[in-house]
Amino acid sequence: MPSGPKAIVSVTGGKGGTGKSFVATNLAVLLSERISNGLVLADLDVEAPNDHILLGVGDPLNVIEIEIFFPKIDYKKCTSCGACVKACDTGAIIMAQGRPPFVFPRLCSGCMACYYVCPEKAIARDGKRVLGYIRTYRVERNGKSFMLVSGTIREGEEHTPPAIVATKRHAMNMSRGLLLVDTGAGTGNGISAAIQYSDLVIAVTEPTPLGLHDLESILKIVSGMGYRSWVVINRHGIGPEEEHVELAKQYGVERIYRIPYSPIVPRAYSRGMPIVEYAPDDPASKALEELARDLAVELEGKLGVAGVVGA
Amino acid sequence: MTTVQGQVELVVASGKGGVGKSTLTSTIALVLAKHGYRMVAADTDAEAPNLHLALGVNTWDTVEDYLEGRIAYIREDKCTQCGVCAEVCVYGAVEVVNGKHRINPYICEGCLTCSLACPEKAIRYRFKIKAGEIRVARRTRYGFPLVSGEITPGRPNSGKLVTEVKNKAKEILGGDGIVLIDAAAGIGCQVISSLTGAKIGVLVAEPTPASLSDLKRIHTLTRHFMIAPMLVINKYDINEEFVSEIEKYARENNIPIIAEVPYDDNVPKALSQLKPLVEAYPNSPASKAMIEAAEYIATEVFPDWKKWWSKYKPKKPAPYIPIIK
Amino acid sequence: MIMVVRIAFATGSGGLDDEIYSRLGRAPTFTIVDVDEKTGEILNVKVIENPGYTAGSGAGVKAAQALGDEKVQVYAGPTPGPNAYAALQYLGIKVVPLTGYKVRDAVKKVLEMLA
Repeated sequence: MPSGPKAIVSVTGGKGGTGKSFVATNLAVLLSERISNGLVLADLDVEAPNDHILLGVGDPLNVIEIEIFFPKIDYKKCTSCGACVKACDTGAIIMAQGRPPFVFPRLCSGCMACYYVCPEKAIARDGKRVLGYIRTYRVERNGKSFMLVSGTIREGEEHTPPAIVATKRHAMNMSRGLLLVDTGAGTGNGISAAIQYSDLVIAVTEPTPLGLHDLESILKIVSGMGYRSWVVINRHGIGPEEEHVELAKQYGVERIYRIPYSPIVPRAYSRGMPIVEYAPDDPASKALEELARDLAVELEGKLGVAGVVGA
Repeated sequence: MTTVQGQVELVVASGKGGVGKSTLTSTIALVLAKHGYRMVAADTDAEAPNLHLALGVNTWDTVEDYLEGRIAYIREDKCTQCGVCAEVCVYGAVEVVNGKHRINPYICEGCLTCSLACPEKAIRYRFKIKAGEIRVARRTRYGFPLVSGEITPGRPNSGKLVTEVKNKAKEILGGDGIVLIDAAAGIGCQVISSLTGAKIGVLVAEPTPASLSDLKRIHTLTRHFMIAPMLVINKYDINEEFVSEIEKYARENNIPIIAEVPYDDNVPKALSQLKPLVEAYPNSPASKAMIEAAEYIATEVFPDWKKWWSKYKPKKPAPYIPIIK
Repeated sequence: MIMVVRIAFATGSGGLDDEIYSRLGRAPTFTIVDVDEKTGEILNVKVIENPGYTAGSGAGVKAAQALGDEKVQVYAGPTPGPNAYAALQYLGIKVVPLTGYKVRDAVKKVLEMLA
């Protein structure tokens, strides 16, 4: 496991808009006041990141390209043996007999199987193409600041896991204290990659049948990977949640928090302000503060007592 | 029973999810059933199947496992812990646990790279992984059957699962009738799989720049497959100015707009109650607009769909230009 | 001299009496027919498995590759998806969109459409 952060907490929530970005961004603001050795928030919703919008940040400090391997074939060395075609899992390589292979960029996942299988070593090791971008922002709040690392995937690309992994690696390299991960939407293997190495996973749900279904999907992955979890029931009060609580118990979830439904939330959103700043006395803000406080105490061990302020 | 000629696929598609596809598809299903059409509904949005919720289905008659793909594992007896596999895996699937290298089955996509790079040839594969489920309700409360696909959490998306769901639906219908398909979201293999074989398309868009760009992409796909499309604009009142951009695109491309649906709080409410919108809140604004769209389909497109298809089909298939850069 | 054209049809169980399948990428089999271009006489029939049938993704391209490997000159069946279409073009295989026929009857239709 690459060194870097002392602790990793992931916030996830399945497919629907349960509010994981809402929880992640507000937690980041609250925790930045408490963590003294640095907080990095990683937005891994590479198809449509929005943490930078929720936090109302300006231009990024820098933008770097996410490059992935792309087979550049040396036609002088290529004997048209077709081994690369057979090795390609995604069907990105085709070859007419006697002619050099052709690669569909958008189907290529950058896995390098073709490079390793080529008996003539005719594929360059350093061929690359741009899959997406990583934008790094400094978020300044009440005199404290934290970094936001946001990944995007280029239009037309279908394969998100490589972009998720690249953005997360970049965020891990930048982090020395707490790395907070907004995994983005989904329940596929991209989410597994996003929550990898988490010390704690926070699963955000809502009291609806869709929320229940998403919660089960997420908990299956989290418990399968053996990570600890807490559940946050967002928009508490809009519907029944007994089944959600029962499900959480079944999967060994350690704690359940409830954030009451608040009509103030969309107002804060449209102003690009986290609710804990826009309306700190709102019950939703209070609930988020309780979560942040408990999380800071929980992480004291990993971050060191000196790393956590006013817990 | 109103008859149609042959077995015809109608697909409801939108590009990215979250624009109200399932609610619209459920409305179309109910109205078609009311008009007496022989039909089957298929939910191919396997990453987030919602159609059964929108139709109030919560038990299945059969649930079949869908098996696909392979996951790598390291043979401990051959592994020298050299770490090459961890370096080459672009997904970061190789972890070190208690000093031993181990492949995380929730992340591995089975691509072959690590086994090719391993100097000891210590990596093997498990096959026939459970990648999803195909669920069947033989007779919903409204009379027609429903087939729904779902990807197993932690597994990658699959175009083949979509195919299997559609094949199952067609098998259950057996004979003439309408196959009503709720398409997969996104733009990848699973979307292409949802669209192939369809003749009629109902495209759904919201008045946002992102949704318009999704609409253009999905429209290019329908043009490629010679699918005759129509358009529903959902939540039109969230940005009335942008609606005219969408209307302009539709006009320029001979896509009839069959309804403009306002934003309606009752839509998520009905979903929470596991009831179709038009049953739970029949007089709500969104209900009325969606029923208008569904009635158009039930009376103008069907039963004589070939005539409608000839009128609105693309003039010629859109050529595909592979994206090189 | 006989001009032979090799045509591949997307099929289910395969063979001359099978119906053309509803899609290319995940058709279970291809029925490959060698035909006398002038007379339409069927000289040889072969059924192969479609590697795209079992593929999670990229099925159409894998199917096209299989046809290329068999030196097919014409593909007849449902419209290929965009990636498969480009692959067939690259491999030099003509595409004839055609459904609703048994293979045996489709052969004549394809020759008509090619002429």
